[in-house]
This record gives sequence, C-alpha cells and structure tokens, in this order.
Amino acid sequence: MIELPRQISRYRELVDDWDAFVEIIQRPLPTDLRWNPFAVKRERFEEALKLQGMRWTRLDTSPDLYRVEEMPGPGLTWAYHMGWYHPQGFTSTLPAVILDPQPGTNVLDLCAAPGGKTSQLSARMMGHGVIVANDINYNRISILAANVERLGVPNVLMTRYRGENFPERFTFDHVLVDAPCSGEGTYMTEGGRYREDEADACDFMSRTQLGILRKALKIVRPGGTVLYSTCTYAPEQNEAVVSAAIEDRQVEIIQMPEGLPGEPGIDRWEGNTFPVEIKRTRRFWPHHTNSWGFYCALLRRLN
Amino acid sequence: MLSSADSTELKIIRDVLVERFGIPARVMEEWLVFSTGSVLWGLRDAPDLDEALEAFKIERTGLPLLRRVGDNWKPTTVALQVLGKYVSKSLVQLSGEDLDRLLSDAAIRGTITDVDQGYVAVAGPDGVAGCALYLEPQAEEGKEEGLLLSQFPKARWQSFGRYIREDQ
Repeated sequence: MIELPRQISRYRELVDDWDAFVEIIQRPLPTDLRWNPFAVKRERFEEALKLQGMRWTRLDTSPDLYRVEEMPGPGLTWAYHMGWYHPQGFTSTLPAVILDPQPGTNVLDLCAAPGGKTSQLSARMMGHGVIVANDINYNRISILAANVERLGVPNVLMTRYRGENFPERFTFDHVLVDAPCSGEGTYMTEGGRYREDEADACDFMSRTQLGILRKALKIVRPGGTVLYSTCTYAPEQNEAVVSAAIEDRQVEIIQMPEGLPGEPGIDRWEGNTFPVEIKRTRRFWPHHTNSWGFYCALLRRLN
Repeated sequence: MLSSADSTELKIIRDVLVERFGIPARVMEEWLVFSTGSVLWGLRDAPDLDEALEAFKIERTGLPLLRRVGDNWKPTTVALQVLGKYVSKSLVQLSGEDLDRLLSDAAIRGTITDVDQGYVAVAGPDGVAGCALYLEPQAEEGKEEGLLLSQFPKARWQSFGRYIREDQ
C-alpha cells in the first residue's frame, strides 16, 4: 500500500471503499473534452474525434462531455484552437449542469478563471442573457479572456473584485461560487495539480469561502439559486461552510438532480455536527467518477 | 479604457463587417460595440445588459471584432469564426490541404478572381476559420500571381496538429 500525504489520509473514514480510492488516484485520469456548441455542430465534432482514431464514452449526467481514452496534448490540436472543445474534467462540469441556467437569465460566476465553467454556463444559456465573470487576479482574468475568445463566448462581462466585496448593485438569477480551496481533490500520485503547501491554509480558506458564499447569497434574487463548489475533500471547507451560510434560515439547501454519482454530504466530522439537510449536498469521489474529487451544494435564497 | 463605441467606430463596424464581408446589418444589431481605441469589441445584447454595465467596473468585455492595423481595421479570427456563417463577401474557400499550407507556410500563391484586395475571410471544409490578407497580382511589377497572407495569430497556431480531415 502506498503512503499518502496526511492531507489525504485524514479522510479515510469518509471514504466508502478506501482501496478503490487509493487505486484510482494512482492511475492517470481519462481525458474529458466538453463539446463547445458555439464553434461546431455536435455531429462534426464527433466525426473529428473519429477521424483522429479516438473512441469516447458519454456520461448521462453531463451530456456535452466526451471521455476519450488517450489523448496526448488536448491543447495542441486544430480543433482546440478552433474552440471546438474545452478540456474539462467530468466533475468540474457538474456545477453548471446542476445550476442549469436558462437562456435570458443573468448569471454571476464569482470565481471564474480560467473560464471553463463560464463558457459552459453560456453554452447552457445558448449565449443569451448576461454572464458576469469575476476573478480577483488580473493574470487569471487574462487566461479567462483568452478562453472566452477561443471558445467564442458572446455574452461575458469580466470584472475584478474580491469575491467577498462584490458590489450589491445588481441582482442575479444564479450565482456560481467555485470557491478557492486547498485542492486535495486534484491529488493524484502522478500528474495531479494538488500542492501540499496550499493545503495547510484550511482555516484561512474556510473563512474566505464563507465570506464569498454569504456575498453570493446577498446578490442572488429571492428565489434564485447559488451553486457552491470546491475541489477539496475537507469538511471544513465544504459542509461546515454551507452549514454556516444557512444558519440564518434565509436559505435552503436544494436536493440535487437524480442520477448523479457520488455520495451525500456528511453530517458530522471531528466532533462537529452539521444540520441534517446537509445530506442534500454531494461529494464526488474519484473512485465513483474517474475524475477529480469535488463537492457541490445547491442553495436557494428564500426572501 | 473601455467605452461604448462612438458613431465613427460604429461606422467602421458597418464598413468592414457589413459592407466588405456581407454580414447582414440585422445580425450586427444584436451586438453592442465597445472600444479600447485600437480594438473594437462586441457583446451580444441582452435585456438587462445596460443595467449590468452601469453597476460594475468592467475589466474586459465580449469578443474582439476588429483590430486597428495602421490606418486599417482587420477582423479578428474569432469575429470571423463567430460570424462566419453570415459572411457572404470577401470570402476565400480553401481545401483542407490549402488551409494547412496557408497556416504552415504563412502564405500561398494564387490569383483569386472574385474578391478585392484586402482582408478576406478564409474558409476550410468546416466553414470560416479566420482572416487572411489578399494581394492582387501586379503584372507591371513582375508579380504575375496573387498572394494570400495568413493573418491567423501565430502564437495560437504554431503548435497545433494538422487540420482534421479524412485523408489523415
């Protein structure tokens, strides 16, 4: 059995099948490509994959996603530069699928860079309506802008506010908070994106996350929805943050759509208990999805 | 500094995209146009867009449509891709092989009879892919053939694989 960093092994009691979890994080993940309807018809995109000798599988819960077995350098193809697809892991496509904004709605992506989810939100809106894509970091906004341009996304305004300080001068139908987090969900024994030195900032992270989520709940219209997501397994940054955000009872946690993989949120951790409705949130484990670890909570503002 | 396009800049949009490339005026009416001086940007209009623009300090917006090159305005690759299905003039249709050659060699020789000298939209088998500059033959200077010069952004194209087509 390999030795995992303590930032990963501390979640052992949360995992239903530890051996399967450990096995999956030692294997390279499949390449997931999200078809971009702004650039090419689905039939031609599929034909292009075939002509490149690629086979794919489709996942019911993320209908625009194509899982290809082997694709070295997905950012080095003609189709990539033409904006036909965006490389985007399955679980990171779920926030936009769950939030499900319709054409003509107003959407805020509060932590938007590098823009995969922004462009996916726009695609679900068929390019109609307003998307405000916000990120605090100027360099990351440049990456966001480059992806918006490459993918031909027609309806994005980009802003650069701290998430916690986002202005309250406009209300949105939906807000996506894909929060900055310690990122353990991207840990793979080889080739993962996880950095151990970032994981120790858990307490700092959870305060920032709660600040951003509370702001999102203020600027979404009554009846509107907020999707909170992270790529960490840490309950301190997931269930604990959502529990604190719903404390004032002005917000409800909505049940996720049927058929999603993963498991319900947990209602206790290291001596802390969370409200029972936290089980409506969802933990997506790599051994259930063959993708990055992820967490999603869908909230509705009540008044 | 981002600002709404003034009447001169809106006329530039009409002159280039509507007059030269034949994109219907009604299509361009769906876009709000912004200016940063050397670039004109397009953003698809929406009912609450004005209110959103008032509410926030905007860092960037929409898609670049035209870029100033000297005294001329060049359509961007993304503008021609997004609006490509409406382009009806100044359009050069290439085979996949010729498109490969244009991108790898940066230019191809040949005389095109039905377009005027200047910026053209280049289409491959999958529709409009980007922009090129067409120079007409100048027999009196010994240039018997026309020249099509790639205007595709180099950084974006220098490392990709070949065009996806059936003979690969």
